[in-house]
Parts: sequence; structure tokens; C-alpha cells
Amino acid sequence: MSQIPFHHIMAAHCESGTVTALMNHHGMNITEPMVFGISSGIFFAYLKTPVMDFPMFAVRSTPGQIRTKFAKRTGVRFKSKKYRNPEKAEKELNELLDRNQPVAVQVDFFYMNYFPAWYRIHINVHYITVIGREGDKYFVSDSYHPQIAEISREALMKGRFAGGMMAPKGFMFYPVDIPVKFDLEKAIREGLKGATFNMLKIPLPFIGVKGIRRFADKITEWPKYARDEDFLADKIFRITIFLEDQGTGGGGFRFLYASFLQEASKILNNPRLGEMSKEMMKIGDGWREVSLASAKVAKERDFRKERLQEIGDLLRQRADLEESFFSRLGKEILNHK
Amino acid sequence: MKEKDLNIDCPYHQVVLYAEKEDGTFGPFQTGSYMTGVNISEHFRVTGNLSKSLIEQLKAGTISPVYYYMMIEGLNIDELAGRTGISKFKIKRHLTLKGFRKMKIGALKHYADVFNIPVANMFQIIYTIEDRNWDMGYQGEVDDSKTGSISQKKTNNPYVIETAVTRTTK
Repeated sequence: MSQIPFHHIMAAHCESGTVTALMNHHGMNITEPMVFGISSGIFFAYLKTPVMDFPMFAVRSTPGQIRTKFAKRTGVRFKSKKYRNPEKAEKELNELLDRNQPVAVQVDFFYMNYFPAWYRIHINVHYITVIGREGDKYFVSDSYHPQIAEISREALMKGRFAGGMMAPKGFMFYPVDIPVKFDLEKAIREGLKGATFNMLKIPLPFIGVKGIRRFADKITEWPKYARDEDFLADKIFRITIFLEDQGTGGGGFRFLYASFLQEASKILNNPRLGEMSKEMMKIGDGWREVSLASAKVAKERDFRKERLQEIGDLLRQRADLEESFFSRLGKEILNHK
Repeated sequence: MKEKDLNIDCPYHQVVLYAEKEDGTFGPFQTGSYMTGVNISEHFRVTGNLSKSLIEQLKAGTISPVYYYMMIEGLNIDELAGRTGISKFKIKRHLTLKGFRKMKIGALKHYADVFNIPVANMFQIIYTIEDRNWDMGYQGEVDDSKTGSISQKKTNNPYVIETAVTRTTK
């Protein structure tokens, strides 16, 4: 067999892009912002545990939750499976492809060798859709690649069975039941509610708005974790990468979320959400400022406390604005009839 | 933010961003990556410095090839243990030349698989002719007007040699 006819498009984020592409392939006309919004993908976490060499932060919900929450709120049923045995995983993937079923798989991004070497890093939570095979190669639709890509059987298997943190264990999924009709308005409301919960109500000091404040407070401590200047510069550059380039749609997913709110305002016939979408776009602009300030600090190698504090101040402003925003969003959902 | 304010000219690394369109609606558009378009030279400088410094240590025998690749690929001992199935205790030993010397070949294969390199590359530093195909956007023909020869040289590390390709005009 060769390729299953599949409409490949690039997307902002690999998981929401993969779910969106699979839904559209099976006839559900839905956009990436809608998938992201319904699944309450917007998030913030600042993490530093004793086993971590260096602090890290996340601007999206836990990998896998976009699929599970989207499924729960829309009634879509996905068949998902993990494997201990790579041969079995490969055999079942091939059987599905032979039945013309595109299959999403979780991989370590490092082994996706259709990207240049300098760009690939070890990260176990990348999602791609396998859409065909021919001899010893597979065809994949990767949200970050402009065209349908080819990958060798060996590289795909390495990616699917990489070990380490959040190891894929051959994880794959595909939709088995897509409801002809579902309550889109209800799904959007639940998505909005989930987002306010993520950002305001999780009772942990490093999650949501509290997490942004913690990041703002702790960034001045970053030099003490760094082994040298190059290392620190690289970590500060990564703030920019995580907010802009690493599959966020820009502004740490805030631009993507603004697009969702705009779409939601039309579906719910709620002009106030339309106004809030513009506000979220401006909040995203502020995250872009954080990115640019970080890139500047890293490039100039000026790691004085005052300079890092400048990034911290920008982050604190984001926290204040998002606290106010999500509080009002929560009230808007409660008042919406 | 408006589309035009986010637009970056970088055909080699494309991303999808969301922005405000001319008509005030928000939606996706494809553009160049900010980091690649604006800061890639800095990234190459930092990774180049790291690589040079590690190669010197490797040649001097103060680190093992396992340490070299672990650092180059941005891994740490915990991650490497999870990926290779080798205990953290053993990995710590394999990071030194003394521990590397005593390593079993099977363990070496586990490391090579994770690092995505042939086992043979653990024992040599390979210098190639500057490969223009690694330059972003280079579309030129391969220069075959020169012949190539391979030479190998010992280092102060008894387990690692330098392999170099040199070219002379035909």
C-alpha cells in the first residue's frame, strides 16, 4: 500500500493539530483553536523539583489531555493503546494503515529525521499522524512540517519506543466513533470553565496565575543553577522558544486562545466573549514582550539581577492581567444563558 | 498582534502562528520561526563552543564518549538511565574514561541506539569536509572536482581517534 489520501496542513501545536486533522479527515469540520479551547489547553506551570537540574515551565495542559478532554466534551471516542512489545505495535499500526485508517502516534521528536539535525531535541511528547507505508518507509503528517514527510521504519520505531520521562511506549490513537451531532455550545462552555479552573483554582502554588508569579519571583535565581554563561544563555533563549516557536501559535498559546474565544463568541452569540478575545490577543502581545526581552538578555549575556528582574516584572504583569481576565471569564460563563 | 508584526523571513524553518488579519478576525498563518530567523547564529555559536570544549576534554581523556554525547544531546543522567535501561550508578561510572574502559559492548550498543549513532562513532571524532548541505537553504551541487582521502590520528585518549577527510584537486 502507499499513502491514505489525507489533507495535510501545518498547525500551531502538534497535539491539537493532530486531533484537528484526524477529526477533519473523518468529516468533522473543526478548527485547531476550537479543539484547543474545548479541551482547555491553556495553562501555566513553573516546575523545579530536587531531581531537576534546572527549572522549567509549561504553557499548556499535560500532554494527552487535549485528546482526552476533547473526547469527553464532544462525545468523540478514540481507540488508544500502549504497547510493551514493539513488534506487536508495528504490526497493529500496519494493519490499521492497510485498512486506510490514519493513526496518530506519540514519538520522541529527536528521531523525526525529516527535520534538520540542529532543530531536533529529545522530547517524548510529540504527536504525528502516520498516513501510509511503502516498503521500509512510512508517510507521516507532522503539524510542524510543511509537507507530508517520509520516515524510515527504524527511525519511527526508535521514536515510538524511546525511554525516559513520559516515554511513548508505542502509544497510538485514532477515532472510532464521531457523533453526527453534538452539543457544541455545551462543549465550549465546559472548555471555558476548565480554562478558568486551570488558571485560577488549582490549589498549588506553581500552577496557573500563581505559577506565573512564582516564575516572576524565581527567574533571578536562574544563574545559580547554570554551569556557565553559555548554558544560562541557552536556558533563557528557551523562554522564547517555549513561548513562540515550540508549537504555541505565538505568545505562549495566548494568540491561539484568542482565536478560540472569537470563534466561541459567534457560536454562543455572546459579543462580550468577542471583546474578551481582543483582550486575550493583547495579553498574548505581552507574552511576546517577555519572549523578546528574554532573547535580548540571552543575546547580550547580561545576567545581572536587574535585567532578569525586568523579565520578572513583565511576567508579573501577565499574571495580574490573566488573573483579572480569567475571573471575568468565569463570571461570563456563569451568566451565559 | 497583527500578522505583519509577526512575520519573519525564514523559509528554512516555518511555523504556524495565530494573529489578527486585515479584517480584524483572528486566524492562522504560516511564517518563519523567530528564533531561527533572528537568533540561529547565536544558537550555533553556543552549541559550537560546547562541542569544541567537550572534544578537547574527550581527546585529553578527561571525559568518556558517553559523557560527550549525553551533553551534546541535552540529556542528563536520569534521562539517560530511563532511555537506556542502564542504572544511574553505572551511567555515572561510564561517564569517566575508567568506567568506559570496563563497559560491556551490549551497554555501548544501548547508548549508541539512544544517541542515534553507529557504535563505531563512540571511538572516533569525525571531521568532515565542510558540508554545505548542513547550511540552511543551500541548494548547490556537490563539488566532485576533488578527490577525498581519509586519515586517522591517535589522541591522548587511548579509546578515541580522530578521523579526518581531506580533499585534493583531481
